[in-house]
Amino acid sequence: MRRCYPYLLIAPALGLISMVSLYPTLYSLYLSLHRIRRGTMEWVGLQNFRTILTSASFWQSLQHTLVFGVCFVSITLICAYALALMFNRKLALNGLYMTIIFVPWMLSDIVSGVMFRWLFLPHTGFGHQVLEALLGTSNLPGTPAGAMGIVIGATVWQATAFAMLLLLAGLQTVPREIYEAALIDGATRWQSFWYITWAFVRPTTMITTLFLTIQAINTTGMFLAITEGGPGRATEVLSLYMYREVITFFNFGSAAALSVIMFVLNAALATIYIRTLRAETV
Amino acid sequence: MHKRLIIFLLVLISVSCVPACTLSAPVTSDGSVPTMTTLRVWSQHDLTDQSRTTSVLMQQHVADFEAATGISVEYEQIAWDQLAPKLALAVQSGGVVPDVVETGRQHIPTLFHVGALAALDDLLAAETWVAELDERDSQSCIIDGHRYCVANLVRGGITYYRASAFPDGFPETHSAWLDAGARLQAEGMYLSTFFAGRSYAAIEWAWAPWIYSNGGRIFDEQGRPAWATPEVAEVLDYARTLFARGYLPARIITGDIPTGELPWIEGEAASFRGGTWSFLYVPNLREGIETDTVRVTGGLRFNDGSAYVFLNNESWIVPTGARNPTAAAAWISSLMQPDFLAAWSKAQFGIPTHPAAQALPDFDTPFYQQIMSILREQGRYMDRSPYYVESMDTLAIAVQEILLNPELDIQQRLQAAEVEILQRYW
Repeated sequence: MRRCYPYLLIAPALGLISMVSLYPTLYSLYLSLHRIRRGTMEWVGLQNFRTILTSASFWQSLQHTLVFGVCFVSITLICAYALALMFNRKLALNGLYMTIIFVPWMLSDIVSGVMFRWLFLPHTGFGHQVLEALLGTSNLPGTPAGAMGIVIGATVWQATAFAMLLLLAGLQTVPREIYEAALIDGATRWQSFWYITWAFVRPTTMITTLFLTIQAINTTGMFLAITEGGPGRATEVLSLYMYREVITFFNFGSAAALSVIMFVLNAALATIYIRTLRAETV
Repeated sequence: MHKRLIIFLLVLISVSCVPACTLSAPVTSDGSVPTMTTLRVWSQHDLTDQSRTTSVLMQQHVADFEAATGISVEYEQIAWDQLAPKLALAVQSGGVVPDVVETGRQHIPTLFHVGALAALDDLLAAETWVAELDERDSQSCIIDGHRYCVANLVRGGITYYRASAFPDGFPETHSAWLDAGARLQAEGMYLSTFFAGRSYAAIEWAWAPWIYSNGGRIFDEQGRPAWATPEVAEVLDYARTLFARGYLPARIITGDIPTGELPWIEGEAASFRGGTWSFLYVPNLREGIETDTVRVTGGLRFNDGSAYVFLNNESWIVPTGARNPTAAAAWISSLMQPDFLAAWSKAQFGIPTHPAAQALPDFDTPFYQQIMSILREQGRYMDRSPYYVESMDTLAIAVQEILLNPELDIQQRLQAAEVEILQRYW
């Protein structure tokens, strides 16, 4: 009995986690092997996966996800790094700046997305008018690159604060004495950054990159609010493709298969990052 | 102590499971299932918005229905474009479904295909008005010889134009449109504006009527896509020309439905392809009609073909698994009473499907006579397909790409879109 006691104590928590996390995951897997039509479930084996993997839309969406992911993660990291380095210097009015930077992070995807959509509305959007005055371009959301650029910009704008917070926490773990010792030894600014700052912050950067990458793969709200996947399919990423499959087309099985593929993608990326992190810290 | 705690936890867990295990229809003491006294209704109309006639009418109707039947109405407002998806999701996921739902004609085949529609033949067998409905109802609601919905009113696509911009009348053929476009461009106006975005609605309103007029189709008899044809390609090439020459505002290709209305509202466009319902959303349209500064007309003729306009309806359905289908039938029947139906249809700028309602004085106005004539002569329901929304969305995406990219081979892109649907579903 004594041996079972700890398990019994954690049983409610485990039960709850299973209910809200494990069960939906397993049910998705189960759904992905079925087709639901006319209210009945039909076993189709791997047919849904075959349909998805042979569809041009899937590969297009994957490509868009990759483009979005690479741009979003790298730009967010650069912006977050710059801001974290700035705040690490303990400037005057740090709190005020920090609050301002955190406002976008507190907004929902849809609210931020709608704001950006309106900002670039042809003829009436302020952003559109500014761009037209500066570059002479028009209808930015009407071009594939422009539409993707707007979504990337909006997502970077929203996610930078959180990434900066993580990186700032990492920066604040670097002891001042090491910088002083390096200065005495004649280290340049770049050498101080590369051999001290970067060496300390690298694990945090990896974690931040992992979070941002997972966010990039799963982002739906921004795309839905700004472009709905258009023009054409230029901004239809995997998550939006899945959303359309289930919400617009009622293809539960295909959408579940897609969710399994995305889960595998996320898990693979997380494994790679964690392994790299472990290898570096050992 | 530990033992007692464990027993307590186990009992707690067991007790909490009991309600979940006993969820089933309530049963009275004598073992019979009690008569349902509630009716769950899903509709797009907001009962709290007193500024809209439809809301006021629906609110009154709910109160009258409750008073007449003793059935309590649980009314849920759901956005128009979400009614069908939500219902399909509820039915397919085994969730709780409403008893009666408002929807549109284009969703009937898909809802039928996913098994969300209950047959109404028996439920409405005693209702005499059913046999009196016009053919716009039966074309939409009778599938394989059974009735699956009741279409209470029809609405359609219609073109509004500024009388001053077209002194010789509105051009009726596609070549005359080009001439008018050139003339209006010189005057600093767009020829027309409409919704041309990447949604199935753009195909319904904008492109399908032209494709039909040019002898093309959207779906074949089995509901398979029939897009990769010279007739469709010719229409899209023509549309491309209209945009390339600047006769239509480029922003409507990527904009949403209100974006398609803006050039008209802002006075930049000489005509506007909307619907009979556009009065509800476009300011000053009613005043324009009343003062004869704005006039209405039907569709465009392509290559001497007939002109068509998009036709849709408001339909009421009873979902599979509805808990109170009898009350649902009573609800539908109450909606179809001529006096209410006339007021309801007029509030939505639609035409009732019941001749007795059509004959009421509400529709004896020049405007209604004109739109009734246009819809009767040119109105055409979309071809049916069990995969309607996904097919039409796929086509809309292809059309958007074709319009945005002048280098894209129209026929090849249409072929790719067609193959995508055929490989997936057929």
